[in-house]
Amino acid sequence: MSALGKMTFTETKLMLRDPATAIMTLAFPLFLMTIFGIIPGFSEPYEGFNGAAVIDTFIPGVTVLVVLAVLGLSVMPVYLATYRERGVLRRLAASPASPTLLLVAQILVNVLLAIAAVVLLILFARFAFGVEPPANPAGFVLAFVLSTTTVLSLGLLIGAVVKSSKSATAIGLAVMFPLLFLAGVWTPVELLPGALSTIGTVTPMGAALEAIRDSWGGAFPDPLQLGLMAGYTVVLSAVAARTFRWE
Amino acid sequence: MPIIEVEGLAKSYGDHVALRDVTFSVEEGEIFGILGRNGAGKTTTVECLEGLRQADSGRISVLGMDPSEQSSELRGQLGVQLQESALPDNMKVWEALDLYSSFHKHPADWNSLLDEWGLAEKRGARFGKLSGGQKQRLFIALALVGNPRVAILDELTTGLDPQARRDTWQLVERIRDKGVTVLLVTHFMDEAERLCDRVAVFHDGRVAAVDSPGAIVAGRGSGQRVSFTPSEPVGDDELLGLPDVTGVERKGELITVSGTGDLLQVVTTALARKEVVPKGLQVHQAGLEDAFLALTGAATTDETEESAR
Repeated sequence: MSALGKMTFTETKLMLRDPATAIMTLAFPLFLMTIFGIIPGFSEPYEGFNGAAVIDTFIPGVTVLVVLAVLGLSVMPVYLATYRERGVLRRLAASPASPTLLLVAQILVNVLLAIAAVVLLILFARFAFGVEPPANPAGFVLAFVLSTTTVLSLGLLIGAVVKSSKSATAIGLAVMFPLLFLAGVWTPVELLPGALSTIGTVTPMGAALEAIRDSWGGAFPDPLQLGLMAGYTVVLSAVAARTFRWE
Repeated sequence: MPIIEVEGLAKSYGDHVALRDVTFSVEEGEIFGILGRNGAGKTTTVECLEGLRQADSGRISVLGMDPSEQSSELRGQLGVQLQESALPDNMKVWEALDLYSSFHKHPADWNSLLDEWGLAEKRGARFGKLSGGQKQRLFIALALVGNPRVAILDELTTGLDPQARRDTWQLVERIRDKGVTVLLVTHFMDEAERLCDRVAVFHDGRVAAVDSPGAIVAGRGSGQRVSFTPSEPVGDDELLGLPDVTGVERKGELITVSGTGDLLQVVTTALARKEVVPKGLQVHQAGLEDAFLALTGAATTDETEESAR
């Protein structure tokens, strides 16, 4: 097996051996869908969403986004910071392994977990609450892939520079909540005041949520948002790679 | 031709000068010691050799390569055991060896490394559950998994109990017996004296001396000390008047006489003549520690205690 394959496989095993993260990530979609699925009215057509029910696209979109946010801005940066703090990165830096190997493996592990969570969400929403799966599958896959790379590159940047796992946690949360707010997770962008809603749709997570909701509802995501996310990914991961510190 | 050559190495971190002027070379097949206090520049030097750090000036050649230019190529032939490094707690012993061997083009058979380093029983144990000595052996095995020509071992025995330290010394000799050149960083005098063919004594960012431990000791005067508690009071003058005696110290009733030549015989004969019995007589032959003190000019005790904790 190649070094990358072995590294990814090993990191996956390590994540499963400390199963709290994987269980929380996979249980979260079920929990959120159930809560909102049983709130009266959320399954009814809602005029603010042009007649779609809240649980049709908004709740699934928010769920996907929050899964990505938790993995990208909390789990991964804390993992990398802990590795740095304990000297795991230092040991690796003294081996012939390329510096990017661990980062790529970490991203792959988290992407795998995110994919598992989304598949579970789609199946659970469909069979428990009759929510239709993404109506534009190609658009959804594209939106999901770009959303994932956007959020994970942001997390990579945090994980690249923080000194300790404590500051990784703090910075991750400090970045996560404003971005989730601007993305319209608490108040959908349709209901945010004008300027704020415009700002919201161009932030990394706002663009992600819009693209995911659009494609879930059947439309192809807005090229503006796809382009924005591609741009965020390139810039953030490039900065992360340049600033990455082994110790 | 030396396998490692270091010439005029200098490195500063802001205002702090870590290396002023470090020059030494290591021959193939030897155990070469880098000896010095914390902060003398030992670790900075080996990190430059490993390509983990870049020196401000000076020249380094390891296996004919420049670590700052060809770091990944060099690391393929260099086995490294680092201070303050770790593996994930949940990683199993065999997984670590399997993973690290995948980084090398021509890895050693890690299953036989497990046997050789006494880790076969711990094959499926997690890193976090290993004892200090077992972790150290795993790190040695990881350093050897790429069949290196040079192994750099940094503070290998710090934090180990005396028995584990002695066991580790045998392991270091075994590495050399396989034909691997060993660069051993340590601040333990006994370790350097016991293991190293040659030693570079580091002091304040410079190399104060490079030679075999025996030659370093001999070069600093073969001082001896004789200590005893006299049965009857003895005056300093009577002792200082003896040939070969250079100094007298008192601690309560305990007298320590230092000097050269046949010190023991001179002192005991003089005491016998006065019918004084030297109780608890002890002779201390100068060793690397004394030579180290003479070279660097201060006690090492604080630090040895600190690291033994």
